[in-house]
Amino acid sequence: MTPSLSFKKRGITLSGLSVELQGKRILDDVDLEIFPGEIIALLGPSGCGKTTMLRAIAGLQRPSAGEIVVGGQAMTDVAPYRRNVGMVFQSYALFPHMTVAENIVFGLKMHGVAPAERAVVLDAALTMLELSALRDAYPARLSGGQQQRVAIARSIATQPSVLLLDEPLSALDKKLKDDMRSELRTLLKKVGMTAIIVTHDQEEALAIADRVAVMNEGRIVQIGTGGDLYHNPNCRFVADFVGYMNYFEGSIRSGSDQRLELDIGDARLLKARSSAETPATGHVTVAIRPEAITPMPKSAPVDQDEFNIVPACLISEEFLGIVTYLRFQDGKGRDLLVIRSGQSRASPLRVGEHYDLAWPIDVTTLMPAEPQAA
Amino acid sequence: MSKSSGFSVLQALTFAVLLFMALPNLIILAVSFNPEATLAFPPTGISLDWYLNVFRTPSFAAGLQQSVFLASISSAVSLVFGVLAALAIVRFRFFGRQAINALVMAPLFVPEVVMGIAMLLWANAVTAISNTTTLVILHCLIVLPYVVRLVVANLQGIDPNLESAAMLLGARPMQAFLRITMPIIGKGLLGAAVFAVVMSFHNFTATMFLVGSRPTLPVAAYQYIRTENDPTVAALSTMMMLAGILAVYLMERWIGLERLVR
Ligand SMILES: Nc1ncnc2c1ncn2[C@@H]1O[C@H](COP(=O)(O)OP(=O)(O)OP(=O)(O)O)[C@@H](O)[C@H]1O
Ligand SMILES: [Mg+2]
Repeated sequence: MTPSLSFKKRGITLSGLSVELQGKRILDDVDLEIFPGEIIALLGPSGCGKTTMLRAIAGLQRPSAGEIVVGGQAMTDVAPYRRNVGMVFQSYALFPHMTVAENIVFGLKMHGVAPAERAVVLDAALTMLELSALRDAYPARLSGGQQQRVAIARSIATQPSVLLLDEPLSALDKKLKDDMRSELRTLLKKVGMTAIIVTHDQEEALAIADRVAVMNEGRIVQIGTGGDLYHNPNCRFVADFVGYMNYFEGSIRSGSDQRLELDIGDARLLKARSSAETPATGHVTVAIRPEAITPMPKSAPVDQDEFNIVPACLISEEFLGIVTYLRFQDGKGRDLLVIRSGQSRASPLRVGEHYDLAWPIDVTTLMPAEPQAA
Repeated sequence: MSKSSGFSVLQALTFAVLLFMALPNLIILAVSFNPEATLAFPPTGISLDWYLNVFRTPSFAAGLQQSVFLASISSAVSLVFGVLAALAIVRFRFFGRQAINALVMAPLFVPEVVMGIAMLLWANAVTAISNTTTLVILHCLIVLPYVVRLVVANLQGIDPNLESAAMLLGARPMQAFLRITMPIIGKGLLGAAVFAVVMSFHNFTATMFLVGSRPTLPVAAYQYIRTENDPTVAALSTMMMLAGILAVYLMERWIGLERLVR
């Protein structure tokens, strides 16, 4: 017999959410739609407002403008103790004077749940998070991973409609972090909760979440699946946050419905597919992932209709096991990184030689040009 | 080798300093056993007569009663206000927060003589106030800065997310405070209470200015010694010292002194 916890799946809608602290805009007009049962990762550098967003959703931080709707119900004026939102704090915030069991049932007590029912839920939570042996231990005695599991157990015991996790894995060491990553996703999917998980580790975000929202300076810059963000970043910030990227600054020469021609200062023009988002004219940033580029010998034939080509000289080669980093420089002094699989059976390259760097037109990403530093 | 000899020199020095600090008290201890009716050192024999005499002196019993009364009232009052003030100082960022902090701490920097005189002038101006009330207020003022400092230190050691976590689990703000914060700082509060009682009990200088018909124990001892020259006061002092040491020892056992001095 495994007693189980059940959850009502609820979506979250943030519209125009802003938070101001001491005259500073910490969250700036955030719109976000989270579907019932979805796991969203908030990814962004330190200080970009991730914790503040969770605190606003939990009711611990009053927004200066905007709406928070959870499960169709406006939350903006609801006190935190009535929101039914669970939160796992970055510091775990376990009650130090209570045992693991007392921590877990605290919320049930506060909700006036009868002792018999409390015991059932406690057993379910202890079993689910493999904490049964630790039920009478005090938090100070627990390891980081155990504390994290208690914090999760405590926050889901009251069966909240939404779970907020603030960098739940950051206190763990690398090995445990990797294990907990998939365990956490499995657990969240098993109970089917809507969850927001904050992290500044891109791998963690991609591994746990259904969709990732990249934040910078109080705004959501882009939201999408890992694939969306990786293959179609809408700006350099997102591109750099999820992996490496090569850039050229250039301008659009001519455009048809299908295909754009780009001037990056070379004799040869680059080509790219046009899409709804790409600007039709003007300055653009051209971006190519390092693993999309293939170095070719100078004389090799290349289909110029399907591939872009930039000639460059191999500067250095770093063998890292799984992959090899090849650093090139083109005629204009621009650095280019090429990543090749360590298993690649392509012919070896020689440092100092010139090659044609080729990549498919399809993976040539265009972004609005960065504002020039004055 | 040089290290161990250096250590023993340090040990000797430490011991000498401690002895120097304890010496006056040790002399009082010795004098209290003197069989003769003089406050003379060294004592000429061993006797417990003066200890009995402490209990036979009515002004001491009355003084003890007054001191216990003052210490309990003023420590209870200053504990309540101290916790509130400490909460305001630690938890809230409001206009005038620094001013409250300074105001609460001010008595620490005012000489006790000045405080005694000021309270005396004030009590004379406000004729409607009783002598006991003035004393209670004075002792609260003396004790409050210490209580606030201790409670602030204890509160600052608490993760503010604990109460937030409790509230997200359904606790009202007051419940979160009573069920989470209070138990965690409970030992610190007990320490602050003991500290307040001791501070109030031992106060002499400022209290001197305000005592009317009902002197406190230290003041009663002072009044006694002005007319009598026998070692009764030495015996009383020894007992008060022992009580103080006992209080410190119990605090160390229950709470850990580092909670008080950090
Ligand atoms: N109480 C406060 N008063 C003023 N500014 C604050 C306050 N709390 C946070 N901030 C500021 O708000 C910004 C966002 O803070 P927040 O804690 O949300 O960042 P974060 O994205 O969670 O960062 P981290 O990854 O370091 O946890 C920071 O610049 C911080 O300095
Ligand atoms: Mg944070």
